Amino acid sequence: MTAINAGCSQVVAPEVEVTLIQPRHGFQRLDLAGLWRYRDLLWYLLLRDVQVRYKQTVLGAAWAVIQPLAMMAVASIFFGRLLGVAAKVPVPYPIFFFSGMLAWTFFSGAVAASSMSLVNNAPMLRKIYFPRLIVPLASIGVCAIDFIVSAIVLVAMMVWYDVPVTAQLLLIPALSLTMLAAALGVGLLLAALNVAYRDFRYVVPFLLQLWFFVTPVIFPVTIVPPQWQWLLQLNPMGGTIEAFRAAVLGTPVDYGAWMISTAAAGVLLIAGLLYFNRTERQFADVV
Amino acid sequence: MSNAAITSRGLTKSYRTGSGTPFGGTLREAIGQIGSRLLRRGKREVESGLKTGKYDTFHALRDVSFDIDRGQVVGVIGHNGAGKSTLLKILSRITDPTAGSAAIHGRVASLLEVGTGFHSELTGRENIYLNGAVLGMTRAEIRRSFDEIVAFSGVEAFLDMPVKRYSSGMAVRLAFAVAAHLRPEILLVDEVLAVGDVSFQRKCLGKMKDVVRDEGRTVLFVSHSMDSIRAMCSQVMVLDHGATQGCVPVDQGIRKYYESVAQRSDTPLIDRPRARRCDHAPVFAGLALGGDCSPGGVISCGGTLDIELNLDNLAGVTRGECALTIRNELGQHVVLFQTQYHADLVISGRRTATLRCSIPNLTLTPGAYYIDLVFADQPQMIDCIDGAARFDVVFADLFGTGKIPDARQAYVVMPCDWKLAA
Repeated sequence: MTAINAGCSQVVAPEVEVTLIQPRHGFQRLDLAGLWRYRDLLWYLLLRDVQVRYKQTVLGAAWAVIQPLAMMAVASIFFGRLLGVAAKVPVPYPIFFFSGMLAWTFFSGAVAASSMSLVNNAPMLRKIYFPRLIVPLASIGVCAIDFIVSAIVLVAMMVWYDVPVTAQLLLIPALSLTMLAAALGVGLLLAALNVAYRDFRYVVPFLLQLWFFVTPVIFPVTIVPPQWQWLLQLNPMGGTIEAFRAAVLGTPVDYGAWMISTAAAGVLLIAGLLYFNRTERQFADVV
Repeated sequence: MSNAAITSRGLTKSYRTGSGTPFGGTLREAIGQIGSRLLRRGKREVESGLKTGKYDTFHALRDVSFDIDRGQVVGVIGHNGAGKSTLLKILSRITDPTAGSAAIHGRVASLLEVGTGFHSELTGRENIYLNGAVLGMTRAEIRRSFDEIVAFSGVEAFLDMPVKRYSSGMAVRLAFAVAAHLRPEILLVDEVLAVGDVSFQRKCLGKMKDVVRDEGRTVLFVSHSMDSIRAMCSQVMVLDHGATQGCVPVDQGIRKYYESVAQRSDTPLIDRPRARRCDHAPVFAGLALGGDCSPGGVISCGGTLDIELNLDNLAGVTRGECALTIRNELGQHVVLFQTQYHADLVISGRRTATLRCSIPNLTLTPGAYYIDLVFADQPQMIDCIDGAARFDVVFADLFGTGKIPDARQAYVVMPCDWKLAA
C-alpha cells in the first residue's frame, strides 16, 4: 500500500477504501470482515490476559490445574461420601465430578470474564476503534485455554480410573461448541448490560451460583424426578454437561437432552448477539 | 479523481444529560420503558418525552462540515469542551454521530491517547506488540518496525522488564514510539504531545513532520500549543462550542480562536471555558486592567499596564504559581510574567487571593494582544484560560520622530541610540 503511494503519487488513483460515517439505526450486519481484519488484536488481547494472569506467581499455569483438583477433593468428600451422592453415580465420584466441573468451569468462567470484559477494557473502548466483539471473544478464549489445560488432567484421571476409550470422545468438539454458544450468548448479553447498568456486576456472580445448582455438576440428572428433567434440559448447560460427562466416561449419551440444550444455547446466542449489536455503537459514550 | 481525504457534512453529536444513564435512562426507567412498550407501545411517549425537553441535550458538535485534501496537515483548535476530541472520536468510528455524515478515503489510524492498552505487568517487548495491535497494526507490520520502534524509544536495555518498573517518561517514550510507527494514510492525533519531556516532544514532532513530508500522509492534529500548530499544519479548523466554519489558513484560524475566546469578555472569568481540562475548581475568578489602560482596553505604547487578578478556590494549594502570558494576534508568546520568576512569590494556605501585576513601560508594537493565564500548584496545572482579556496597544510618539515600528515589523519597541559615527 505504501509502495504504491510512494511510487506514483497522484497520477494513478490507488485503490482507496472509503469509510462512510453516519448515524446507524437498528440492527447492523455482523461485520465478519472487520473481525477478521482485527484478528491480530484478538490474539494479542488473549495473549495479554494469559500472560498477565500468571505474572509474579511461583506456580504459574499450574494454578489452572490445582484449583479444579482441590475442588474435586473437597467435593468427593462432601457430596460423594457425606451426602451419599456417590452411591447414585455409576462411575467413581471423583471423575464424575471432575468431568462435569471441567465443563462448568469453562462456562461459568467464560460468562464471568466476558460479562466484565467491556467494563474492564473501558479505556480502550473510549479511545480506540475496533470491532467490539473482539473483547468478549478474547476473554472467552482465555477460559478456553484453561479448559484445554484442565482437560489434560481429565485424561490423566481417565487413565488412572481405567475409563474405556470409546468413539463417543469424538463428540467433545461438538459439545464444546454448544458450551461456547451458551457462554458467548449469556456473556455478550451481560457484557452489554454491564456497560450501562453496573448492577450486573453484582448480578453475575449470584446468577452463576444459582445456575450451578440447577446444572447437573455435583449430582447426576437421575436424582431429579423424571417429570421435571425437561426443565433441566432447557438449561443450555443441563443436557450438555450430562452429555459431556457421558461422552468422556463412555456411558450412554442422551442426544435428545443435548439437542434441547443446544437449541436453548442457540436462542441465547442469537439474543446476545442481537442485544450486543443493538447497543455496541453506544459503548464508547456510556462505558 | 477526487483528491479528498476527509469530507464531512453536517456532523452533529448530542448527548443526553441529566436524568440517568443512556441506553434509555436508569435500569428502573429501562425496565419501565420495556414494560410500557410491551403493554401499550409506549415508544411514542418516550419520543415525545425527548421533544418536550424531559431530557436535556448537550450538543458536543453542531453541524460540522469541512473538506480535507490528501496530504494536508490540519490543526484542530478550540477551548476545552469545544468538541475537538468528539470530532476525532467520530472520525475514528469510536462513537457514532447523531446526525450528518463523513466520508474517509483511506486507512485511518487514530492516536487519541498515548499508550492505550498498555499493560503494566507486561514487559516492554510484549507491550510493543499489544499496543501495536491495539492501534491497528498487523503482526507483520509490528515485527517489521520493531527494531525501529525500540531504537526510537531508547529503552533497549529495559525491553524485558515489566512496564510497571519503568519511569513514567520511559513508558511514554515507548508508547509514543509505537504510535509514531503507524503507517496509515490518514492519522488522527489528539493532544498527545502534551506528555513527555520537552526534548522528546520535539523529537516526536520532528518524526511526525518527516512522516507527513516524505509519505504524504493526511493528518488531523489537535493541539493547544499554537507553536506546534504553526510548525506542523498548513490549515486549521477552529471549533467553538461544537461549531466550525471549516478549514482556514493557520494565521487566520489562530486569530479567530483568540477572537472567539475574547468575545466572551462579558462572561465572568470563573464561568468561561478553560483552554484545557483541569480537574480542579476554577481558580481565576476575575481580571481587571488598569494603569494607563483605558476601560475599553486601549493603552498607548510605553504606558503602564496594571493587571489585577482575583483568585478563588485556593484551599489546599501549597505551591501556587501564576503565569501571565501576553500573546499577539498570531498566537505567538511575546512576553511572560510569572510570580516565581519575577517576584519569588508562592501562593499557599489561603482560599482567595488578589494578585496585582504592574508592568511599567509596556513597549509592545501597536496591535491587538491577548492575556493567557495559567495557574499551577506545582507541578500540577490547575487552571488555565486562553484570551482572558484583550487589549490594544496604540501608537505613541516615543522617540519624537512620529514613527515607531509596527506589529508586522517587530514584537517590541526599545529605545536605542543611533549615531552617524563616521
